[in-house]
Amino acid sequence: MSSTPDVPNQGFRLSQLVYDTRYRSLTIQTVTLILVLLGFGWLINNTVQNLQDLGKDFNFGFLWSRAGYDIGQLPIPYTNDSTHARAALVGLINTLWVSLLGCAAATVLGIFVGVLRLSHNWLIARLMTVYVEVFRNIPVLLWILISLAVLTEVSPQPRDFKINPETGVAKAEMILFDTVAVTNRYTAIPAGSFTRGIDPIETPLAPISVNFLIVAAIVAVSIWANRKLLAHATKVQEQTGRRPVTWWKSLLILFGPLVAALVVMGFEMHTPELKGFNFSGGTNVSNALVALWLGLTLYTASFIAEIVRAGIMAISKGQTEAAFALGLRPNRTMKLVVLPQALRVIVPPLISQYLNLTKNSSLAIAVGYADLRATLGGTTLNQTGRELESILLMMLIYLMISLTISGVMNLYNRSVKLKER
Amino acid sequence: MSEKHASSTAYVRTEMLGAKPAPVSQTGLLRWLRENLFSNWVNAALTLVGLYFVYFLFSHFYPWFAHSVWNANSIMECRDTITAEFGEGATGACWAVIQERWHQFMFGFYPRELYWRPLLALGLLMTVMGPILFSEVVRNRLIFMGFAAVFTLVTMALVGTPMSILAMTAVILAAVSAAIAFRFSFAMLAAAIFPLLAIFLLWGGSIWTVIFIGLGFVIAGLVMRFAGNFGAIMSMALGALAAVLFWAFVAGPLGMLIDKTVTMSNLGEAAVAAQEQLETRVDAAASALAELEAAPDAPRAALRSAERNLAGAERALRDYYAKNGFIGIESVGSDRFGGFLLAITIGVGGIAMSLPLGIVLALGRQSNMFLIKSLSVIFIEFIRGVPLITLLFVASLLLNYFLPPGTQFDIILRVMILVTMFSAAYIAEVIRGGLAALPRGQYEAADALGLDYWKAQRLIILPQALKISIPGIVSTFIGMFKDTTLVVFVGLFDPLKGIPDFIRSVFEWKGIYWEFFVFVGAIFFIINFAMSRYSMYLENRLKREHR
Repeated sequence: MSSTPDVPNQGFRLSQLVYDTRYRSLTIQTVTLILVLLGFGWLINNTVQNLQDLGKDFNFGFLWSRAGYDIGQLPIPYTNDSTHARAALVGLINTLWVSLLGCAAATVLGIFVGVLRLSHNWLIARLMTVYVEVFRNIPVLLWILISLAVLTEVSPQPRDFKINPETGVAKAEMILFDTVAVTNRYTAIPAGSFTRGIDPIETPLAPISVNFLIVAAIVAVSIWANRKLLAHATKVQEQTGRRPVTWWKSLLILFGPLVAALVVMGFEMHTPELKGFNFSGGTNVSNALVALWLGLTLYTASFIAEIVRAGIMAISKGQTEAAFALGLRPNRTMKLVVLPQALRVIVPPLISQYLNLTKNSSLAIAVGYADLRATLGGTTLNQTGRELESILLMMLIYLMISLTISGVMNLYNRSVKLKER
Repeated sequence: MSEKHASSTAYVRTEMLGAKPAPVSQTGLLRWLRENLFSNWVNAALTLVGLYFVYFLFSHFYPWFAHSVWNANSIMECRDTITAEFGEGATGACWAVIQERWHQFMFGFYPRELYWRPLLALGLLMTVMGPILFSEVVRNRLIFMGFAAVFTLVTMALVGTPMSILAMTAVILAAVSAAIAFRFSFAMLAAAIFPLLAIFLLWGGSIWTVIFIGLGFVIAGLVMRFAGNFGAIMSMALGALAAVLFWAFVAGPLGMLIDKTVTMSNLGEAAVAAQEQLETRVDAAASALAELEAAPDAPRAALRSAERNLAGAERALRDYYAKNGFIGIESVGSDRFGGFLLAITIGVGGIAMSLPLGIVLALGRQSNMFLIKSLSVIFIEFIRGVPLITLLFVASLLLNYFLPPGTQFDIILRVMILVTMFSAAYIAEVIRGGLAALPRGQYEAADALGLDYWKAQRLIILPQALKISIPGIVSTFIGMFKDTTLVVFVGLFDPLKGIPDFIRSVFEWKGIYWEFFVFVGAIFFIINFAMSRYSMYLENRLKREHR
């Protein structure tokens, strides 16, 4: 085979488009492109035709007209004189808010359950297994509906909290040391306020709370300073072999400035109190939000628990034993050896659980929470009759939320990933 | 030496003493308790908390279960019975509502005398799937098929199916089971035919519809075989084209013609005349409707209701043919579906269609061809980025915009298509993981053997990749089955919210909640838990093979 005959110089034949591997992929892609374009052309043509038949056009102008409906849960100022776009924004913020609350609570509960499921305690491990299996295998819609039913059907009315003057007891009692009242209309929780705070800055979109910004900045700086402190401690440890005592410094850095700022701004906590037939003083959270949040949290936590358990179990026992052999204590073994490796296994599926929770928050439709689907994809759609625009816009927004979450979490994932050569 | 030793020592024990019993704290229940529940202070505290929690649940729910009422006509009657029996303020479960309405949870509004049809479809599904699910273990296969037959017959008897149909079912199931037990390849054939049979049994109507759908696939297969030497892609394209052409231009008119001919041969002159008159009327209505639609400012609502009426009339006509032609069964519209019948129909249909689509998407995403790859990525990421609810809204509100004017097709089919697309995107990602996990050497070995792309995928890559992906695929299926409950938001009657809301809408059962949650939740749990256990079993079985 040393002297291969020259390739017959035959010129290009049409059959080469199908049989010759050099051209075949081009042929296939061209044909696919044509088919896809034809398909889209067909769909668009149909849509145009249908819109014409119905006497409609494709126009997002309706977003700037008066909405004319009220929304139950308002994170930013909104009246029925506001525009449809602002209603959609209210819905978007509500969606993000319940997703954020749900992700945070589900992560805490999920880690808790996942770790306890590995416990050597027979009873606790069994209980956690039952929890995970029951919640994983039943649709999330059922958990949301049950949460709602518990809140609206079983919970007492606000006036039942009133102490009966004759007997001296109330029909219902507040929970968590008299700070939270679960009623059949809302859940009253404590709220904080600043007596010497700074007035919020008014912007056309929403008022921005300066007090909140100050507290957030102080917390961020404290966390950063604490990290510096710990890094310094590690450096000293590496040089001298002794780790300086840091816990009281950490506590001071983390909480000192925060407490000082709160005192300076005159922070006060108000627990809800029954005034007449309703609670006031605190914040009354609508049961729609609580039910949705509870259902999503309980459901997603069961998945996160499994992810955490699998992540911890994926770290071979040899790693723990090696750490013990080096003389590390159990909690430092967990912190320095097992968790950094387990996180690598845990983070990717955790991202997709956060995404799932965010998408499942559209089940707000079952409880009447004013999320994006309820405003833009619900009342706005019905009032303006613009199904095409509303639903496409809604899908686009959800898509952007998903891509943002997965982008941010992928960045984090990159930071915990194994650095390979 | 030992002798010397023996003589020099005063006493040597010649036999071993029996072992002393272990201390009480190291045996039996006490040891188990110490090790598993009270090994240290933290564990002891956890145990107590756990025990309290169990007690809390038990003390709250046991009375409710213990005070169950099984026979009543309304929730008021339930409450009265409970108060009378267990005193003022006692609460109890009112299972009477399940007793009275269980059939709606199972079948929705499907005609009662036709319950045997979905059940027969389910029985056939189990009989056909049994051997495929337990393909190696002959004994399991037989047990499963026997179970399927018994289950079907018992449930049919429970819903009051006439004896003749029971006998027919027994014969059919026995024949299919025997054929599959005799030759395994028959199971594959049966699995290929089953979807058509299920459509026929569930929706009824003329048998020609399903026969022509099946014929289309047969034609596609034949064309693919004959066009085999044009290369895999070409033959597939030609096959698909042939099938589409057949369905579009031949099947409809031919089916109508056959139905009509048979009807006429079976009926007398007068009936034929009546039927022709009926047909003329439907035609007239259709043309009148077309004229009305052409008018510039026809009232839209009236137009839509006229369209619906026309569709109803056409279905009635088809029904009439089917009944009198003796080649069809009574048709049941999609609006009669509900409860678990709806959930299982959408779930099984979605599973059957989403697996092939998911494989194609996964292969597309792994492809070297830029365009194919980007199209697959866009499709997958788009679908995965939006909630299922928005896709269901697309099915119910937007598909009418995207299809040619005047197209009306079944809401269950529309939902099924969107659900299929949704789960196919997830399955594609699972399978992509499986493909990526295969060692590079497998691809290279396939190339070295000179296999072309499709042969390499079919014989070497996919069997291994799918095997790795099984747990992920099954959990996607479980997720999809749970998601079928969302169809309630496009107006279908799912078992979780649609049916309970419907039942609560009558005065007798107003305000009843927990019984529905427990009942429906338990059924969902049983089905999904069984699926997840099956996936574990399958994983184990395949792992053993792998070694």
